[in-house]
Amino acid sequence: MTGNLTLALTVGALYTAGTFLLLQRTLTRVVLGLGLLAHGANLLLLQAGGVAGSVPFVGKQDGPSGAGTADPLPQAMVLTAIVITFGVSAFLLALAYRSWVLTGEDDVQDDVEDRRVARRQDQP
Amino acid sequence: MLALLALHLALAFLAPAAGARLGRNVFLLVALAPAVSAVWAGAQAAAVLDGRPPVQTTAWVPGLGLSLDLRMDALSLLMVILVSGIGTLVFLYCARYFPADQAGVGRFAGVLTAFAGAMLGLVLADDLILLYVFWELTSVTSWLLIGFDDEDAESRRAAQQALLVTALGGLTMLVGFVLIAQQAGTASLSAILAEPPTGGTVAVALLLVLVGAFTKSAQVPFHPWLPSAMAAPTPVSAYLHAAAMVKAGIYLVARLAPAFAVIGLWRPVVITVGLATMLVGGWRALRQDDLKRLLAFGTVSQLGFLMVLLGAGTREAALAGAALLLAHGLFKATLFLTVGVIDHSTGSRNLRELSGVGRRMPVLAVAATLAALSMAGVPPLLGFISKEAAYEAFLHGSGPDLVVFAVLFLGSVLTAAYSARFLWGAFVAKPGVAPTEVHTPSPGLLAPVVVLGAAGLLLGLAPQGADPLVQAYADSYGMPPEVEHLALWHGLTAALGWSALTLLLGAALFARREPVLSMQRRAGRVLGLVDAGRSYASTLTLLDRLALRVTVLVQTGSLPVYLGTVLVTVVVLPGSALLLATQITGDLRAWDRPLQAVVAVVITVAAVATARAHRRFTAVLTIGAVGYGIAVLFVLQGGPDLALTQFLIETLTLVLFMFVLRRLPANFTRQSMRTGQGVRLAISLAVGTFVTAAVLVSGQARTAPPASQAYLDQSLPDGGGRNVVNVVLVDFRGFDTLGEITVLVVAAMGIASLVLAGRSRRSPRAEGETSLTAATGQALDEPGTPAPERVG
Amino acid sequence: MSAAPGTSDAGSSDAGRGPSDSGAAPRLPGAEHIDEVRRSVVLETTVRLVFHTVLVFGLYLLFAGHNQPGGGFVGGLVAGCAFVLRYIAGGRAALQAAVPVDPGLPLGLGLVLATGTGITAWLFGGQFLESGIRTLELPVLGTVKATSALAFDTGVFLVVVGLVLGALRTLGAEAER
Repeated sequence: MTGNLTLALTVGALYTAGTFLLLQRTLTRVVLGLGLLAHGANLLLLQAGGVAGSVPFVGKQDGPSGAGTADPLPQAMVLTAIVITFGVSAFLLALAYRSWVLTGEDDVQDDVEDRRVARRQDQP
Repeated sequence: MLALLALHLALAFLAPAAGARLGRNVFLLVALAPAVSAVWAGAQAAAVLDGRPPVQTTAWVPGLGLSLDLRMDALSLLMVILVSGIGTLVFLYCARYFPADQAGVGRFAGVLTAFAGAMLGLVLADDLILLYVFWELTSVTSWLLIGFDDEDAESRRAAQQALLVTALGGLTMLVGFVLIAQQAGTASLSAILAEPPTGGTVAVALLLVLVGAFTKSAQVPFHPWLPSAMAAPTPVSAYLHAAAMVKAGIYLVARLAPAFAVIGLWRPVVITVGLATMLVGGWRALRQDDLKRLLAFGTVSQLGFLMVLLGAGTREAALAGAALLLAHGLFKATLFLTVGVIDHSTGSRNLRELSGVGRRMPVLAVAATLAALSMAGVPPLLGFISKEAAYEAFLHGSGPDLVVFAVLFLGSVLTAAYSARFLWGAFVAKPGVAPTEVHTPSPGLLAPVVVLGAAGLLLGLAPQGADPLVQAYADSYGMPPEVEHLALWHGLTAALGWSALTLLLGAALFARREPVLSMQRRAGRVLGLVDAGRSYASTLTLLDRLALRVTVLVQTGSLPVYLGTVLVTVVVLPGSALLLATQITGDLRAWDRPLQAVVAVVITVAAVATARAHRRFTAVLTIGAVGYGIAVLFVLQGGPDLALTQFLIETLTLVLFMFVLRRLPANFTRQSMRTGQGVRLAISLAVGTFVTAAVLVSGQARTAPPASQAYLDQSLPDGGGRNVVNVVLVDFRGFDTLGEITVLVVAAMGIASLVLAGRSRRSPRAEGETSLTAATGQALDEPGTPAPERVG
Repeated sequence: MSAAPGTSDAGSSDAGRGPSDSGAAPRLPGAEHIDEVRRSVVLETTVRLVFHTVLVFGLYLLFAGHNQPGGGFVGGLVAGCAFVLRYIAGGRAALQAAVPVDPGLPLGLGLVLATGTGITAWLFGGQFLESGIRTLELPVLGTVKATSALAFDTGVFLVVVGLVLGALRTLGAEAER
């Protein structure tokens, strides 16, 4: 097995950008970051199937053995992942929206309880 | 035996309900449990002493090899007599001790019964794990008993201290038990004692077990919980100190010593700790003004004495120890119950306030005097016999034995002195102190005290009553050629002389009590620096502060910090493994189709633009570009279904984003765009690099042929379809898909509830649109806007 | 409109038929609730023409998916896009007029159908979700191969449609406020 350098680098780029956004405080950006990470993960799964090939339909390829056919299993997984990502992104968007409705901003603040604990340490 | 435990349990559960109806007389009902146990034990005594201990085995958790193994040999019998015999008297005493209108008496009786049951189980258990379970049950129930007065902060604190200290010891002990059971290959106590395992592991395990015994039996430096625990009602103190709880540690040491005293550091540790405890307890008891506190420190001292005798691992010491165990149970219970009566009748237990009580309550005074004399070791009481036996055990040895003897002697002098102090303080008329007002106690309250006090005298006069039992335990060390029996008179021996000297010095110490006290106070100022009670408190404070520190450090409450920690861990741990263990060797291909590179560049640029975007709208558009780019890559890779799905999803996502973004501000918050971005960038670059490397390395790691060849072959015959991806989705891996659509349904419900939550249910428009369900109707209007034309 | 790319090819073939339905009718049912200034005649007409075609195309993808590109996911998404179009052109009320059901209905129905397929296999003595194939001789259609996987895929289709509808109803309606 050999690696496809282009795909590997693209996956890396998507993960970099996605991680960067994931580490932000703004919920919308976090959602966007998750979207990029999902793209990266899908691509990662897909390239794990190996070399690009013809569509995995029975009867479409040259022989029944399947030589030169793209791997159908990662494709099925990626298809599942894409749709799930849609559901999750929609949910997170709703979450970001809810946060905006309640607090007037969609930034994630530090946990109030934890900050209270931290203050207790300063005044024993 | 199991039936006895069940009886305790049943009565414990019955007591709260019965207490509501019977009031304090509920104790007469629950006393049935220890009474029946004591009678049963008495009936079995002949068989036990004959070497035929009753044994009972019941399966408990067979899968874990746990069983309810119960066995009553001589030592257990001795303990049952203490636990259930003295227990019965304490229960009866309780029935008259508490005021008739005492609140919560049913609950208290229930817990006390449960405690007695747990203690009974502890001494009967023939399985290490079972013993541990009962051990912790006594810790928990004693916690409830000590904290009975739950509105008193001091009482709660004392209960917590007892629980923390004993439970900590219990856990340590459990580790030791597990190690021993591992080495022995069985958890059965009698099997382990019959063939004790040896080796370094066992030596360490024994030390762990000893920590448990020391905490339970209030040995130095774990002793402060016991004097604090006198915050409990006095009958509880009597029971805890005389018969139960603290005796559990002694029992454990006595149980293990015949087999393990020779292993590792057992003997030096047990003897050193015991002697230190004896001295510290006696020293502290001598300067107490509170009668109960005096007795509590006296118990600490006596527990040290017992620890030395029963842990030393010789037949003579064990004989003395078993006798002292019995004697201590009798006299300490008597004395505590006496304090209870005095407290009950005069409202005070401060020996500086009490005066002339003895003349007003002569019966009590006689009973208490018998007990105190037994404690001091005055003939012809049982305490004298056991002390004599103890002297005898160490007097004839060499070097180390003589040192032990010297300390025991010193401790006994202290004991004699504080015994005198107790009697003087409780009963004697003091010059300059007004005679104390006394309400005559009821006979029901006095009877148990008298019975216990008299028992000490009886067994002293006729030691052959206790001798067989004590001998039977001592026989676990093997039969000596010449058996030494308990006796009041052994002739003019050296031990007798030392006993007399003990009493003389004790009396002198008591006579010079005021100078001794002031000397103690001076010394206390120096010794106070190593006060174990204070170190317990500072340990707790330290623990609190440490917990706070750790919480503040670990739980910052910041989402980016949490995520960053996770990601850094990913990079550092699997990342370094990747770096160390593998290298990219196989030949890399730049691309499968040149177009891939072009699309890759577009995707990368768009992704970076998304990360850098300051406007929400821009970010959404660029991420859309990424998505469409990915769709093109799917086409190039040979997945038309994928590409189609990706295309549609991307479109739908864009639409949804637009919906939401119309409501949100156009720009991201300035402030959140600035701080700490360098760190974020560094982490992201590390993650990206890690993933790229992982992709390349894992691509080369494949050894097995792809699983999908089977899918390709079987798709048409088995799945009935030519589109292999679809057949995989709906057939071969249908479970995955089923799970996925479940997630989608949950997500849809989540979205609806997040957006609709808190919206008013009433909808003016919904009245016209009858087909709308309530949920959809909610979505359509906002509170207080009846105008339909605004919507849409 | 950002929804256009997904469905443009499906819609273009039918666009020519549009003008014949002119008069009062071509406006989208339910769209009358929108302010007159914000309505777009062209958009509404196009959507009215394209809507059913896209919907049918989605169904086609569902049924064809076993042998050709398509399947429950893709079909459901295409059908969802039809509703998105409808919503964008005519607003919430137009969507309501097109699907007068709660999104919960397709969601629940789809999940029940998919699970039911699995359980049916149990009833026939197979394992959970084990698929069955029947070849039927139907009077008009000739030989038709029916697989239980189609029922399962229909469940997937319904869930995806339900998700899109739900998101439109909630997030979309929120944006209208």
